[in-house]
Amino acid sequence: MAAPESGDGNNGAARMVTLISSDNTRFEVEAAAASLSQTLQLTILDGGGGGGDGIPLPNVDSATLSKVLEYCIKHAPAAANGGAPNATAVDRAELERFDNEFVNIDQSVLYSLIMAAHNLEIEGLQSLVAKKVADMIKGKSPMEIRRTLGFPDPTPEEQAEMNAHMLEYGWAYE
Amino acid sequence: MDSCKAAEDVVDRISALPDKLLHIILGRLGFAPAVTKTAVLSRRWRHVWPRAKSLTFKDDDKYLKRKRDFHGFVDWVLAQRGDADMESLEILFKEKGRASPEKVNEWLRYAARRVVGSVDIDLGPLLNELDHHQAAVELPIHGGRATSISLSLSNHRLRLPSATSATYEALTKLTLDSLWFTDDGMSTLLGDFVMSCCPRLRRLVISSVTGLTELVLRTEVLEELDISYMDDLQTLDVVAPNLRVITLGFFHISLFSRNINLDNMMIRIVAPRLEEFRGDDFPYRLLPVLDIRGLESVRHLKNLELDTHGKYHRTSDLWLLQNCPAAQHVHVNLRHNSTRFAADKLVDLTAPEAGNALFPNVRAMSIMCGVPRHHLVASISSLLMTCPHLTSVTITGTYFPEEPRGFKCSCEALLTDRCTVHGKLALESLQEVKITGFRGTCEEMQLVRLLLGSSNSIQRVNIKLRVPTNVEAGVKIFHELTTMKIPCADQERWSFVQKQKGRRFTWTCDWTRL
Repeated sequence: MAAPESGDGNNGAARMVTLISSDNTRFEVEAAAASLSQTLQLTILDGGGGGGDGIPLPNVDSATLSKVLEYCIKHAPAAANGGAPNATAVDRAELERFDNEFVNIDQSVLYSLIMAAHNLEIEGLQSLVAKKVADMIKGKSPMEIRRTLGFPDPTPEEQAEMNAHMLEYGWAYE
Repeated sequence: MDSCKAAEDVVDRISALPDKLLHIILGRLGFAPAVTKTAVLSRRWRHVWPRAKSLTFKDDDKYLKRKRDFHGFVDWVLAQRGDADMESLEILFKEKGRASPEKVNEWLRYAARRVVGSVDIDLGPLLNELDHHQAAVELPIHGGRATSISLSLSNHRLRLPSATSATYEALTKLTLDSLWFTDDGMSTLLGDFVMSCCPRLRRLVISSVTGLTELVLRTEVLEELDISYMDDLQTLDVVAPNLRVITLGFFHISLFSRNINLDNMMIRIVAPRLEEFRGDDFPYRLLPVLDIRGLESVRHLKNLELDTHGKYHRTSDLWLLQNCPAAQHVHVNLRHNSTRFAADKLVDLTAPEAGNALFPNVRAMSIMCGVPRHHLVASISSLLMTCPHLTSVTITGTYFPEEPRGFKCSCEALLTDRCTVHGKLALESLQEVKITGFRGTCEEMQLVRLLLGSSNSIQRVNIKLRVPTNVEAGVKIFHELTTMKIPCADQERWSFVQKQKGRRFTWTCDWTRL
């Protein structure tokens, strides 16, 4: 259904939209922040999400969504500047500080976040979490990675398969 | 069994992620050995890693112990990937002469098929000699989907594909460094290649390229051009209506030591929308043959090298400032170069005949200062006097301590008044002063006094101390600053902030008008 107001999402910086999480919690947020999501941007440009309608997000629970929105609200001003080439060093340092703190969270939340970022197509958030997970793996031995990520120990069958693989390609992993 | 459970307070949730997210995560690992190592985690990961989005190979990688197998490792990893696309491929060498042109060509052909983002091959340090018998590195006829290609070939030969049949449709950025074109007529082909095969090229960087005698570019899309250290370039002819940023480094390595013949040289650049000029090693010797149209629109001047002897500045170094009258943001490297000293090529910027307010449009000036201590005040204040409408001044101190022992620049004897500045520094619009690397010497204190006394409109002063060895030293400098009289500031506040970052301390002194 087309919205009564024009579909141009640029006017009215304070336009609000409502997002509904999988557990039916409603979040009201500025359209500019929600538009960091490529997926939502399309809906919002079409005039969706305003008034009492709300945009249902059946794949994102409320805990994850509030975290996602925290990121979007913080990053929206810089994103509006087109990647903020004019941003001062102070602004950039502040965003960086925010990002570092932001991903300092439980692994399970990290994975929910990256799933949500992927589904909602929020490039910056996806890349931020991917980097965090990569940092957890970096410089560790396979055993340490297993422990860090909570992998179960390999079954004897899997171990045998692995040994065979290592016999053949072990040199490449040295 | 129990001990196994106890260790599992972290639950394996990452395995619930779809493959494509794991590919993205692995892409952020970058280092190829770290990526392949995940194969031993589980059956699934063994099949996941080959599709990692980006890979970086470095021959000095500490994880790659068997360095001799470097090529084998790269090839094996690429083979494991099958037909998976990737966003970035980097192959970087630190050691000289380890990759043959044939090998590079294989990687380039692979990249042309599989890379959708950036390709970066860097063969490391220069080979001593140009080897005329060695095979050439060849750019494939079809560039595929790569948006950025960067080749640093440690003086190997590069052969471009024929401009009539090659296609680099996706390419937006091309960097060619440390390579040479053979003299079999190839050298003129670079311009043709860029113009006919790279319709989307926005950024072109060419440096240390030998054998390129002529570069003619007519391009509507190019926005950034960086040309430096071109030993053989005779003709540079660029018409680029959308060019925004240009760097012209000096063209002939021997430009200063040898009398080069300028008769056959032609450098013409037509760029009416130019916004930024970077003057790193600008070839002032070529001024007689230089024809740059578009300097009127330049707003940012970066990395200007200024040779100064106190208030005396080298005339030719001021050329860019004089010829970019609309420049508002200027970044200057102040140097004291005793080997180039020639009194007749210097101008006293404070002399009435130099004309005050030479550069009235400059609003922000950033100065990297590398002059002897006793020149500091004269060098900086004489330069600032030419820009009376500055609103912001940033000074970064990298003063070299003294002249080398037993060596004196001729300016000591010939320009005895070099540190005597007549006239007052008046910067009525100055609002912000920032100084880093401050060591609290009396010359620096004098400079701060001059700056603070130059304007009634100063709002903020920020002075970062250069790592004093102890807090007392920092406090002493702070005390000296706070007792300084700042004119016409009835409400003011100094603050002293000490921050610790790892093992390093930083001290900052801030003055704010309340």
